[in-house]
Amino acid sequence: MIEKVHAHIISELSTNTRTDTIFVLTAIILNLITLGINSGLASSEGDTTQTIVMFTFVALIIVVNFVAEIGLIRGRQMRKKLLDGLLKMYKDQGVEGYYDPSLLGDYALRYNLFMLTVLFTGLIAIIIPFIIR
Amino acid sequence: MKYVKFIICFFMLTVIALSCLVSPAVLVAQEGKQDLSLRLLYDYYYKEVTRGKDNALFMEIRNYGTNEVNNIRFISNKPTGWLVEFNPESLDRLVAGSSHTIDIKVVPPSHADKGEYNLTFIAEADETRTATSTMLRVDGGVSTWLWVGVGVGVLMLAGFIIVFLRFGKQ
Repeated sequence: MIEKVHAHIISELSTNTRTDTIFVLTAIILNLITLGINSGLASSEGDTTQTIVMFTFVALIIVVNFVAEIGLIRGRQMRKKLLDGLLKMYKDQGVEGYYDPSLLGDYALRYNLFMLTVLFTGLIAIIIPFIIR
Repeated sequence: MKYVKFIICFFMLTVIALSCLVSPAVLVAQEGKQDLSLRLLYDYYYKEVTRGKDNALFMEIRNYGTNEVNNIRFISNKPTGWLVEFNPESLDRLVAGSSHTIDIKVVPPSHADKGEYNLTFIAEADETRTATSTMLRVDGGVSTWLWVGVGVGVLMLAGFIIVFLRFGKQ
């Protein structure tokens, strides 16, 4: 039974990694695409329609970035819970020496860096078009 | 004899035709040529100007004609809200072959949008009229849109921090 639980935790961890990768990539790619579109709009002759389109894209950036941030926070918490369970399992089996608990801290740092990357590409995608305008 | 008459007739017709062609030019030469030219420095095209501040341009007016040009007034076609001043504002006369430098002070309004603006400078004399134009660029400085962008950015940053603290603790 314990082997099945172990396989389940490992499967959950890989699903978690895949989901987090999708969140990060989607947010960064959308930020960069919106940066291009809004910069193009800002450098052209400005009228009300273009301003509305620009602000719509800004709203999209904000929503997607917040969704990505919440998703990454939840992903980090989920990974921590799964790894805690895995560590407990290793401890019960007497093999905890093979898994360094400091890896949990590294994962937390990595998640924070992903969030910073998403945040700053989002900020650039918002501010640069307004500088050009 | 027949050929001689033909040659004489042909010669006379040729002389009449040539005299008709030449006479207008001779008349113009006798009246004199009016040719007034305005010239801005090449660097002034697409020159950056600052909102609400004096921006100096220099323009040369030259009389390429053969006659003196009198009572030259300087006027401008400018975008709304822009101030253009000439120094001197007018010239009493400009003799043939001579030139004069005109200082131009251009002041865009402090609320001018970022972009390109077309200005035309006109010299209007009693005898003739000439014009030149340039495109000036309002750039740099702090525009309202920059503050809008920074404001939205700051709000997003604050939201990120709040979400991080709120959901990160759970």
